[in-house]
Amino acid sequence: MSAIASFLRGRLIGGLEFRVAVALLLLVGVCAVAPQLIVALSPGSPSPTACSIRAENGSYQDRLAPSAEHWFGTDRQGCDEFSRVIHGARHSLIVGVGAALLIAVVGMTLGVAAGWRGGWVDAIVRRVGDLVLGVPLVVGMILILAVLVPGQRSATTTVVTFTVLLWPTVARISRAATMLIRTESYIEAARASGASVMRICLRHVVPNALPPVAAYTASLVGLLIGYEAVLSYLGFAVDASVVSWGQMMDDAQTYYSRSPHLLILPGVFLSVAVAGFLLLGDAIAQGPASLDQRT
Amino acid sequence: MTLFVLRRGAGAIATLLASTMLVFFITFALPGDPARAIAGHRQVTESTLSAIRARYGLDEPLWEQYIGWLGRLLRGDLGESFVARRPVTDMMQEALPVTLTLVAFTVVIEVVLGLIIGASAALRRGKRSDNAVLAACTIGLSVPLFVVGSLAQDSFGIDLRWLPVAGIRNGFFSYVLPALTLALPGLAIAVRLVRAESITQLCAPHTRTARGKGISESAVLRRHVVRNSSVPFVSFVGLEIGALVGGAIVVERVFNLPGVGRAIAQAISQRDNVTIVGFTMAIITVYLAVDLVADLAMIALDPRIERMS
Repeated sequence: MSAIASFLRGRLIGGLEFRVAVALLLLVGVCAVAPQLIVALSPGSPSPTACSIRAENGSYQDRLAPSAEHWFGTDRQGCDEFSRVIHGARHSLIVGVGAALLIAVVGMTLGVAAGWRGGWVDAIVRRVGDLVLGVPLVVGMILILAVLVPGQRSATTTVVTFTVLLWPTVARISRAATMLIRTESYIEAARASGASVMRICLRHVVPNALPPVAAYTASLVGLLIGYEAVLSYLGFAVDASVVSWGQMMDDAQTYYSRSPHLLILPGVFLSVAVAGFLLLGDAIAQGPASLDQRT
Repeated sequence: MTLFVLRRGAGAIATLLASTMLVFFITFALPGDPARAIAGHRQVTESTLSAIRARYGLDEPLWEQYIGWLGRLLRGDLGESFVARRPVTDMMQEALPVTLTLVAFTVVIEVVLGLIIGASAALRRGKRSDNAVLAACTIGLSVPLFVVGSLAQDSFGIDLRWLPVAGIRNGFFSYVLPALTLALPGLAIAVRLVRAESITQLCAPHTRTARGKGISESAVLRRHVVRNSSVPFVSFVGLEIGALVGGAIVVERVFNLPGVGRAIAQAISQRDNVTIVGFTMAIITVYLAVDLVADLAMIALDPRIERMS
């Protein structure tokens, strides 16, 4: 029986945190997958990139206050802020979920290998991990992005940067879990029945080491969505054709005292996404399938 | 104990050497020619550029430059900034106190409020006020710091005129808003940690025994609950100080504080390699030193840890 299936059974479904997380993530998820559906609710411009500073009658359309036509007002280029806030979910989720999954895969591969083999594999994974964690996260991000992308960063380079700096934590978690699992009697049984190391790791070690990694990875998505916005704020801009919350907030900074909603509204949506993933992580960590509660 | 300190100290120095080497090689792989950065906007000939390279040792192989840098480091010389034309140690003397003051304020806020709020939430476990604290923690971890910082700046600084909004000219008061902003996510983690740990201790058999002996409730809390919850908390504070020294960059930018984070960001954008490496090394040193002190504090609180390691 897979550990994932046992998450979905048991108390997890009933937990308040889990239900709130699912509600928040559904909201953000719909924004990311089908933003047109939500934007169509508003009578304003449906496209986040079709913007004009002057309307046909000659009136200025930039930085309008929220109104019936533009629910969240317009930004400095006359774009409908509501449309941009809704469309912005996609970039944040792609970077956050993509990086967290890549970190989970890389970290687990190295962590399980280190915990299973021990010896020099373990020593190398641990030393390199300690080394990477020794470099302060924000400084590391700036250094790597400055080397990898002299110009604008893309979703891919951001994901790679996060992965390079954050795999060691997942490796530590899955290494510790693997070392516990290795001594279990079902591993001995699998060995006795002649299963290969590869099969034991994939069918027995990885599924059983998954709960703590899954809890961390879910929370990590939230943190990475936050860091992605911070990168925009620190001047690492994404391509202007990408609608991104970080970019919107960075722009809004300049006009903060006159148009505070341009900073606050994307900030609120970003917080909702982050909170959803943090709560999901908490729910998984407290779920019935977590390692230390199983007997 | 001495053996433990020696072993951990040696490990810390090895990590410091390896991470500075890592940062050194990444930095010098940065696109852009530092010699051109030094020459500034002036039109220069190739011979001038090679003269500059020779002057700053940039024509030597990378590993020789690194060895040279290490040798000067042992004499307390971190080199001269390409851009500011000043010793990096001078720049550090200006920036480091700003960041360390900010971090010290922040940590005090996190520790004091974290212990108070966390322990009181644990005592009211499952009640409405406890749930409110947990919800506030999730919100505190979710909101982006630069948005919170701008909001605080605008409401407490500009509208209400209670506190200064930027720079460090107002001494202590300059740090109040930045520290409160920077403390937010760490405080949320601290509260959750203290709460969870206190709940574990409140349910532990030794607490039941202490109560059964008839010890007063306040003594039970002080001697059995809080003291036992403090071990993971000390470990958190150690990691947190290290993370804050590097992570202060966002808040320093919002409140325009001339700290380490701003110096590094500026140096990276100006390709000022010597400054980047010097400041990064300073941050990593603080990080490792705090980690070592935190480990020693944990042993002082719970001697079993030394035997386990």
